[in-house]
Amino acid sequence: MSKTKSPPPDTPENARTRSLVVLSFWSVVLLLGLPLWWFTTSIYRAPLPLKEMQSWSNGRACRAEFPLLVDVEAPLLPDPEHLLKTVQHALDDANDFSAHHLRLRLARSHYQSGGHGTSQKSTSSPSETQDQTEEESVAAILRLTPGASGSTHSYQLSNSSRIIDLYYSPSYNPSSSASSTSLALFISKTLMEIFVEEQQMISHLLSSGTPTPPPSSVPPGPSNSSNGSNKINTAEIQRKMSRIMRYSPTYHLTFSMFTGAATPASWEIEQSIEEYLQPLLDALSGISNFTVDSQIQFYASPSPNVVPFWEADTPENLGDPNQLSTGKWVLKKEDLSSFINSAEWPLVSITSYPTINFIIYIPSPSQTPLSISGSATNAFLLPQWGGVMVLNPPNQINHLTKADLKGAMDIFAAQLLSLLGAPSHPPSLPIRLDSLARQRSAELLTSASSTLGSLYRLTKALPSISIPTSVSTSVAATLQSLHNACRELKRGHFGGPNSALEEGRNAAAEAEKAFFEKSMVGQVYFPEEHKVAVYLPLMGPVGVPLLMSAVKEVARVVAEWKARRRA
Amino acid sequence: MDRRSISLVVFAVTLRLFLFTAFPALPDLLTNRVEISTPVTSFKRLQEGLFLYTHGVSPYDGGIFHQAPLLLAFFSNIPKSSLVTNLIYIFADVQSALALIDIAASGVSASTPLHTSSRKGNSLPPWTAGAAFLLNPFTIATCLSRSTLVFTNTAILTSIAKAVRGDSIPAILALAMSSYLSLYPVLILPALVLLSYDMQSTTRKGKLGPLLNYALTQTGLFLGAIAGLLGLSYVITGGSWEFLYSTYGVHLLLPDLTPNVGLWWYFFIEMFDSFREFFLCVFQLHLLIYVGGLCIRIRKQPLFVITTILGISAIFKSYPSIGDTALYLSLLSLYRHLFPLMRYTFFATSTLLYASLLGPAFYYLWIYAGSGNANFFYAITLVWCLAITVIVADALFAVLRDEWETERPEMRGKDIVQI
Repeated sequence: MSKTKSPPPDTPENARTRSLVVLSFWSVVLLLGLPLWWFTTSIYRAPLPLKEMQSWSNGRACRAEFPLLVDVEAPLLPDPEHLLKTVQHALDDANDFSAHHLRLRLARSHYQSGGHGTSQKSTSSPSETQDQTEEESVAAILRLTPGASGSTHSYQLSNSSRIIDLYYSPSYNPSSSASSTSLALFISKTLMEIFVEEQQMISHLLSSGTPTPPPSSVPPGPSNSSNGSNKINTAEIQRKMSRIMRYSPTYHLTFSMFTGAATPASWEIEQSIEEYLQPLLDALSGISNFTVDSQIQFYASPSPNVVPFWEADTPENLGDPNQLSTGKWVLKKEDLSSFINSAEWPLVSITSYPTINFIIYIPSPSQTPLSISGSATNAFLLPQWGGVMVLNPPNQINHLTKADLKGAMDIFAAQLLSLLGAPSHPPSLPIRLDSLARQRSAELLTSASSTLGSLYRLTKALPSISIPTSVSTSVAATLQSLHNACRELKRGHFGGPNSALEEGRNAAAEAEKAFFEKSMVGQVYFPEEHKVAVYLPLMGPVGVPLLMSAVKEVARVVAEWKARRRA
Repeated sequence: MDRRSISLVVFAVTLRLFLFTAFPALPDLLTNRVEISTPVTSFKRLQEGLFLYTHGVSPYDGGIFHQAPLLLAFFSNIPKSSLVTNLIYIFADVQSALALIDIAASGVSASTPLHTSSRKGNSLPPWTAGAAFLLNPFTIATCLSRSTLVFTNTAILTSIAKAVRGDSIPAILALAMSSYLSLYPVLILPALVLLSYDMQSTTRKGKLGPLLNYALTQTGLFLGAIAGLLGLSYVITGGSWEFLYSTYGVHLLLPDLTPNVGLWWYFFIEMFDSFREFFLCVFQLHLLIYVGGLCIRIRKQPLFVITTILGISAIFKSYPSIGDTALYLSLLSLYRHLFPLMRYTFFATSTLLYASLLGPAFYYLWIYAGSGNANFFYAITLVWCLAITVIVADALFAVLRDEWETERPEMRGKDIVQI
């Protein structure tokens, strides 16, 4: 093509066609593309009560309180009101964790019943407590009775009731202030002693729930308090907390028998559980439910690196090879943590809720008897996992009866309680269970609050994350439950229907649901910069030709319009 | 129909029958190939849906079957013999070829009422268009795999053939049928209306109103036909609109990410979830955006607009297969007289061959041998789409150049530069 020749002029018809083509492309982009872009990429953020969420996570929304009501029965005491006042003062003075406090009340039954015999104690207590829960749950009942002559103040707590029998010295004289003070001090000391462990746990839970927990600022630990009975320090609490299973409304219990040989081949596990464990599980049902299964595995050996060593019984037998059989195989304490053979033992849980494993290990005849060094029960507890007991039945026994298993079941019951977090201290089971309910409420409350706090921070940190409506409904439900739980705590309504525990459970479940909303989890890992990568392929090859043609067309139209005006 | 066409059809039918009977395993093998059967056309899925349908279960329940309900009604009423089924597919192919021969015989590709190519004399005889379709290995493979795309293609070609003759009502009805079967043919509606308007205006001069009225009538007819077909489907599926989501919803929303020769599956596997809807819209609009521009720019040759849109949708639709490419290529054979104007024929042909040979190999490496990954197959589908894109663009260039040369005969054979 020669350069002298100028290109032929564009015919008006061609120009018109070109404009129309450009227009047709742009009309699709503007009329359909833009609205669709707006519609598909706009971020829906359901409104969240951010302020409320923040105040909950700071712990400002609710000052959790655990008022424990103690009924006092003092049928033979001349002036109980005065004594109660003194005791209450002593309790309040000694208490340094105000959220958890004891409140004394003179029992109604004091006026109704003159003198209860000790024989009636156990039978009357269930009906009594039931009456009480209807209006306000009672943490314990303190029964003051004169002790045997010449004795000092003492108290006694049975395993199965929440009645504290306190025997005061018959030399008690209400008119003497010294005598009265000494009894009041003794009562307050007794009560503090019973509830100290729970108090420590709750104070630990509440303090660790707040977002800024410098470990040193744990509320003045009872360890440095003047009260002599508060011996447990923070480290002890930490250790105890570390073995507790995370709270769940349902747990699965797996009872496994692993035998080193082919015997025993059967066990009366169903009957044993029914008889020895079911009462405990029933008692716990207000806090959590349990499902149970059992299994037997033969020729099971512990982890290969766990090798027990032979320890002969007494030094004098050492010389006599025939007497060797009187010794025993001993497992070292260090080996216990790796005792479970997770590679070969079928302990995988198939339930969606946590599993607690209880294992009876029966060593093979060649390693019988096997014992754990330094353990009287021959059992050990694996934190947050379960319990193991080594059982040495008589040789070649084929069937383990209920009686054989009773010891193991008792140990497992104790292990279960401590895995669930029940305090070990007061021997009374009802008091321990109440304690457990209160602890779990505190735990649920703090965990739900801190989940809300996390959600709050997440929505603040990622302004482009979309929040579905389901999250905002869950958050509202959480707040409602938290509010109710807090109210119930203040009212001292800890267990049972609509109690603090149940509301706390709902709150925790709803908070988890809100935080782990499926569509939000994915977006957490989507940084803003990725949008460049998303839009660039589109803007490059598609956008540039579209834009350039539009610019050219507009320039042409403008030039034409100018030329026409000049002409 | 001349003797050559008849012998071509006879040969093609014999060839297909021979392949069906001599290699009984071949149809099932081809049915399972991702290049040939897509989730929306697979014969295997059709059989699954048919089984559910004849046993009184909703065929759309399982998320397997994504094809039109009328196909169910049709296949459940014919005798259950593979010979009958095969004959139906062969008949559909023959019908497509006859339609193509009709289109070629009318000479619309070279000379429309608004435009006559200067290279008109170079056109091939009509039967070659039929041969380009019937003897194309892609067509044969699609027919043997008994993909229901065959029926869509037949409906499209019949519709074009009717439009070329000026029979606008059958044309629109056939197009409605093909759109009903696989949604995307709806894109050629504007061009088809233009084509039948042009052809009708030559045969019935003066009786035809302005284009706008005509287009509105035809569109109304099309929508009516679609509504009728959907209503019929509603009755067939036992009074449930469930099939809408399972058929057209699948075309539009791409829930099934089975690999195919298209570009969508890999893209949407990798896509961030929150942008999925947006890019679905972008991809669908991308198909739509060309329609207006092409209809305006090549207003004089609506048949070529149809061809190009079919080519574009063979690349960019959600579940393309080689059957779509076969349709495009056979329609392109009508433009044999413009092939000398195309610049990249060698490159495009060899790329197409390269992709069609390496595609199955890479798929094997990925799925069966395990020595490759998804990128292998995706790379090959990119090459495949590149080849068709080059052909589409090159053919477009050739047509524009031809129009230009008709306008300015003195420029014939000279190089052009963009100004």
